[in-house]
Amino acid sequence: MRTAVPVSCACLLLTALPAWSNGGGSMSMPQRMPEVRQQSPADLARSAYNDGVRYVKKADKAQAASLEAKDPGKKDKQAKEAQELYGKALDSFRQAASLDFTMPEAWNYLGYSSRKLGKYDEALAAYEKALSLKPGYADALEYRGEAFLGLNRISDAQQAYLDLYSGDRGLAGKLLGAMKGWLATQRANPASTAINLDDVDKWIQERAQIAGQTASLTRAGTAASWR
Amino acid sequence: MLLAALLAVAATARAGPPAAYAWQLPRGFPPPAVPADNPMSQAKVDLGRRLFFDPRLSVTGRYSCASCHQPARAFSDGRALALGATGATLPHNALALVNVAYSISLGWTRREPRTLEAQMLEPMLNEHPVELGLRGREPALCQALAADQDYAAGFAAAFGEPGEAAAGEPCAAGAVTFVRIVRAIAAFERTLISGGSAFDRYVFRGEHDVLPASAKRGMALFFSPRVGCSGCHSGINFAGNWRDAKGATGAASFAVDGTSVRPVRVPTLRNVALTAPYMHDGRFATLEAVLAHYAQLGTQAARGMSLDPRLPRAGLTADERAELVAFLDSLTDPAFVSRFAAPDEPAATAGGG
Ligand code: HEC
Ligand code: HEC
Repeated sequence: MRTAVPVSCACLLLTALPAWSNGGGSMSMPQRMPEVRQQSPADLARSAYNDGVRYVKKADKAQAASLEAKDPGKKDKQAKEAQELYGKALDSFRQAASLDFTMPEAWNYLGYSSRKLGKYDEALAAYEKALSLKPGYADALEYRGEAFLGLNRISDAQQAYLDLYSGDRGLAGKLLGAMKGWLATQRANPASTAINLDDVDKWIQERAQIAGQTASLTRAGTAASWR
Repeated sequence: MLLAALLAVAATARAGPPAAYAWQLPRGFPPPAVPADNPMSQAKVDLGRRLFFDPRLSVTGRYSCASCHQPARAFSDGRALALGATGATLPHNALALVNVAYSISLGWTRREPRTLEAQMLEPMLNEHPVELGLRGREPALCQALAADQDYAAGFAAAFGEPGEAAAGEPCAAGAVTFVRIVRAIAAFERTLISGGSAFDRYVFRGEHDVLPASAKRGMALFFSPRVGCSGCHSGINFAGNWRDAKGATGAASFAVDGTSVRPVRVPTLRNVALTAPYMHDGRFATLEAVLAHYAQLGTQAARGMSLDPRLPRAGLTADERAELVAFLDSLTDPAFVSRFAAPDEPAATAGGG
């Protein structure tokens, strides 16, 4: 079963790393790196990565269109297209990662496209690799949390939330949103899991309350209280 | 002031390049800011810790930083107003030393000093009133420490072998100099980081059963706009703006909360259950008394007499006050207190001399 939670990709820009916000579930604009003529393995990896980013961007669009479509035929067509594009993206990221083993972004999106194709175990392994290359990599932590959800590994997803919470509350909030979506899906289909959904519900509500209350603990929250 | 200038500019002298210091930071705590001329090292921290507790750093030989900053009281002293080595009363309550590495300014009432190194000169050298009473005794201090083999080795390990003393150094003997004493103690102070309270376990480690229900209700009040505590006691240290390796979140946080006409620095509430009596003048003996004060400010605000819009906007019931106290209790970090309670801590006493 695939998670019913739609996730839009926030693809990373490899050359200029900062300024990439991955929040709120809004559609973000992946950016490519400058193309190069001299083709070292690292260059080829970048080029494959850029191809992957292009596919992911198109795939996310198709998936969003499928979710929005009213007409069942169109819905189906867009969903199929999305799957195809995620498949191409996955091939590109696999290629990028094999050309340059040390590119955490490639592993992160390898995970992302695998997850979109329902290959959760492969996705988890890829996020693991991304996190080992870049400890604390917030995007990978968040995506990994969503992969745990896809596998109904709730306590792992909760741990992922806590790991994110102290470093990136925006992404933690995104994962909490995904958990709410997971819960809604499970509620709609109660026989699908042995997990105590009321406990999960209570946990989600408590975390949402804590996050709301302690916003003034963060850098931005502190600065805001002393305007 | 010559010494202050020296502290600001003197080179780190002959110490080799310091190995990167491994901060032991609780979840949610950023790496603190460290002055470029006083990088952290374990050797320096160990040395500073010894000096902080050492009664040789006083005119009487029986007083130390720890006399007014006792670990068991989260580095405060249990008195309304602090008492100097020779028995003089200080104008203020001894501030707890909790997460001081993140403070933008130090002390209750002024926006200076802004570094731990500069702050330390006050307790060491102040004469009106005397705190440690070291003014004029610096050469004797340096010599006494240099004659102690452990210290000689400790200074050499932390700072390297001696060179010639920089101009303006109040004292130098062997590897020991006054500036190095100050720097070592400051490095130790930067490790006084507290983030292991029940509150932290609840919020950052997801231990949802660790806070009693009353404390959770107090937490909701504390962070609510109506009660407003977190409007001033915000940030990781519940003390408003802070400074870390990335810079400051804003200006040092001073506010009026009914204890003084002039703004007072917002103190941390971490470990506050251990630091009675309260406020810059120690006027309140208990947290209940502090809450009664805020409740009264709320009652006044409800009648249109508010000192600060962030203060409570209405009175607080007895239950609400008790819940707020329960929440403040949850900010106590037992490991922080026990971590520094060395069994051989000198029992320092004031008076005489
Ligand atoms: C006689 C008691 C006494 C001694 C001894 C003493 N202090 Fe203090 N300390 C105080 C008081 C009182 C304050 C508050 C000062 C003020 O604002 O007026 C204070 C404040 C501080 C602060 C500022 C904390 C903050 O949050 O702003 C630091 C840091 C500090 N002391 C460190 C030290 C060190 C290091 C030593 C030893 C070198 C020392 N103190 C010795 C009484 C003492
Ligand atoms: C307008 C800003 C402001 C607000 C709002 C505020 N405080 Fe304070 N708080 C201060 C200041 C400033 C001090 C120090 C006053 C002094 O020393 O005289 C202080 C001191 C304290 C102290 C004593 C700490 C110590 O170490 O002595 C406690 C406890 C405290 N506040 C709790 C609270 C609680 C609980 C609330 C909510 C009901 C609250 N504060 C709301 C500014 C504020």
